[in-house]
Amino acid sequence: MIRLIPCSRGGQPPKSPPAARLGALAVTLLLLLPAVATAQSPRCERCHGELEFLRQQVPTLQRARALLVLPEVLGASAHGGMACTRCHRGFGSFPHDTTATTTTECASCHEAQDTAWRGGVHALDQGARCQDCHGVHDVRTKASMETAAGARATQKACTRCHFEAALPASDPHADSVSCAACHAPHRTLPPQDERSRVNVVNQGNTCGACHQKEAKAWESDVHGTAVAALAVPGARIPSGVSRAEPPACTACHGAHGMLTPSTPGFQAQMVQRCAHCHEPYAESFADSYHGQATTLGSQTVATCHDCHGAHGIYPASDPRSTVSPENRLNTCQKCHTQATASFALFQPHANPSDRTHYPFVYWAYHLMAALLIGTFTLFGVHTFLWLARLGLDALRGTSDVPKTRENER
Amino acid sequence: MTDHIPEQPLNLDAAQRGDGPFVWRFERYHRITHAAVIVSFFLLVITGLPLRFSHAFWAGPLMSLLGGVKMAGILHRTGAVITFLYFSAHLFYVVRKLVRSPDPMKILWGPDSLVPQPRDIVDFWHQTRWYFGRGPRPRFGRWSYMEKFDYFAVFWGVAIIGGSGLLLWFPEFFSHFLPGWVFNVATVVHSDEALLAAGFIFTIHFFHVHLRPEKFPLDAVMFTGRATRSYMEEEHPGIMEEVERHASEAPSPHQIPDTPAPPPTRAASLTAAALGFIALAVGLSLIGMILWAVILY
Repeated sequence: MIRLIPCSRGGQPPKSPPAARLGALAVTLLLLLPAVATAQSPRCERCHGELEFLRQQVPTLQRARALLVLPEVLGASAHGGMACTRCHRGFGSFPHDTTATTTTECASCHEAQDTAWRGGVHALDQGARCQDCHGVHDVRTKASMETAAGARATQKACTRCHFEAALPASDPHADSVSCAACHAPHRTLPPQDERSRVNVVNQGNTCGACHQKEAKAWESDVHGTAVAALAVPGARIPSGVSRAEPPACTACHGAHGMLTPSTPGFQAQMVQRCAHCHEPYAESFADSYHGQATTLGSQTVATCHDCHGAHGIYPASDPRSTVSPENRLNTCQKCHTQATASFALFQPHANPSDRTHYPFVYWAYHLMAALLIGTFTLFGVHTFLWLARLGLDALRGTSDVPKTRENER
Repeated sequence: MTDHIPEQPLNLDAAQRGDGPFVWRFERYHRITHAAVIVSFFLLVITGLPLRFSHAFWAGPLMSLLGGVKMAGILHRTGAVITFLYFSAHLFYVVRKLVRSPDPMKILWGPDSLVPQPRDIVDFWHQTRWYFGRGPRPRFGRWSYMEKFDYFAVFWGVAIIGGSGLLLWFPEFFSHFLPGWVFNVATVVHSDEALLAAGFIFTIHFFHVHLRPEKFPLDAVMFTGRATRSYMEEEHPGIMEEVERHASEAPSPHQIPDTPAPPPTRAASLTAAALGFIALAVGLSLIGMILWAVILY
């Protein structure tokens, strides 16, 4: 990007040494003889569109580059049809008026954006000015910013400062979604700020702008209603809901570097995310075949959302729930096509320590444990005494180890 | 090797200890069945263990080595099919043996029988007294009580693990007759009983058959089918009368228990030792992995 003139802070116009200015005057007068005073842009181009020419007028190549405005860049920009003097007021005549000191602020046209920007973090001292994101002479049109290429260009501009937020290639948003699609483009606020578009209470709307179906399903489910309760001061927050990490979109999906369901590792990662809040269920899941195979990388066995749903999760007691008595068999049949009503009574979260809820599993587990401990104790002692006896005999020289084997050695 | 140079017995094999002549102990059918047990058991344990200890550090790499969860499932079911085949074949063998025997009671009771009987309790008592220096070692017959336990443990194991495994293989079918909690119980039982079987075979069976000082490092009698007379006198003194009865016969390749046998060829001995050591090494590694997982997780 060419950092030419900060538009909101103001700045000094280019100053050339007097000799160079005289040279420029001579040359430009010759060139501009036929020019009409109102045709400003083509006239500016004569000097500012030629690097070689500019180089001859100013002492350094760097300075020449700063003064260079390629007509094709400007022409393709959002401001392509505008006269240079709309921003560079006072530079309309040549030689340039030496008292012309400032470039017009963007706010003079883009007032709403400027007001929004002033309310966000980018207006702070270390923040970002218009041109940091939009460029100067290459300022993009709204339409071009909304294309995939425009989104990638915006990502590139943002990650120059927010390099830690760069989206890895595996992120489904990496290729086509601009940072500004989730983060308010002008009034950018930290996610902790409740007014921020990425704050948990606003994620439903922000993500829902594209993912309408998911957001709508989530809005009324256990997670959505819990988050909604957080936004209402004094509302009762359902037990188990963490104020620090409420179950809005990013709690499960992550923000930067989220995975698509087809990515290897998505299943296991989702289980980890659910486990973050639903620890006991994650433990019993991990002990089941579904959980074991998922841990070992299977992508076909059922994980949390295959049974409970992803968006639209309700307690089993709710008839809308995928695991309610009415719907459970259908849910099982998604994979186990021949499942029966009895099959659906399998308890995927059975806890062998819970005798009240899972008496059969409790007894099976404890009887098997007794069998294992009993067998290994009996034979362990049997083996240990055998070795001890032979060891003692060997020490005393009364070994009972077969003599024929002794002779061999 | 030429014919007139007598082949040296292989010192690694406890069944070749001391002086010949060799005696048949296992017939071909026994050895093939035992080989099928070994192959299927290792296949089942290696493919099942990573599930049981899915959070152990070795579980993921082992699963990848096996070709993933799906492939491990196919291999596990292959092991199950081999198990059901040798198990059915053995039931058939036992019934046929009983029907054809002129004296079926000899198979069901007495010194030749594998059926546990009072004599085994007496032997166990003598063994315990010997541990504490209160008497001589028991004189085992054809089958010591440890060997009988090993034999019936397979019946118990195949019934319990195989039965619960079938339930888990075809849950949709069995759910027509059985309530849902049965599959929860089957999961617990299958996994724990399998852990018991693997733990027992790779420690107790290995110690009793191969690793105790009298037999260290290997007893290949189940691989070659034959043992020396010295071995029989020390391990199974109770049947020496029967061995004596056949002592005058010429060594025969017919593999009839107690009859004189030609010594195993050096190639057969080496093959048996190699297979035995591989099985021991794999089994002990699996025990190491189980212990690591049990202690750390």
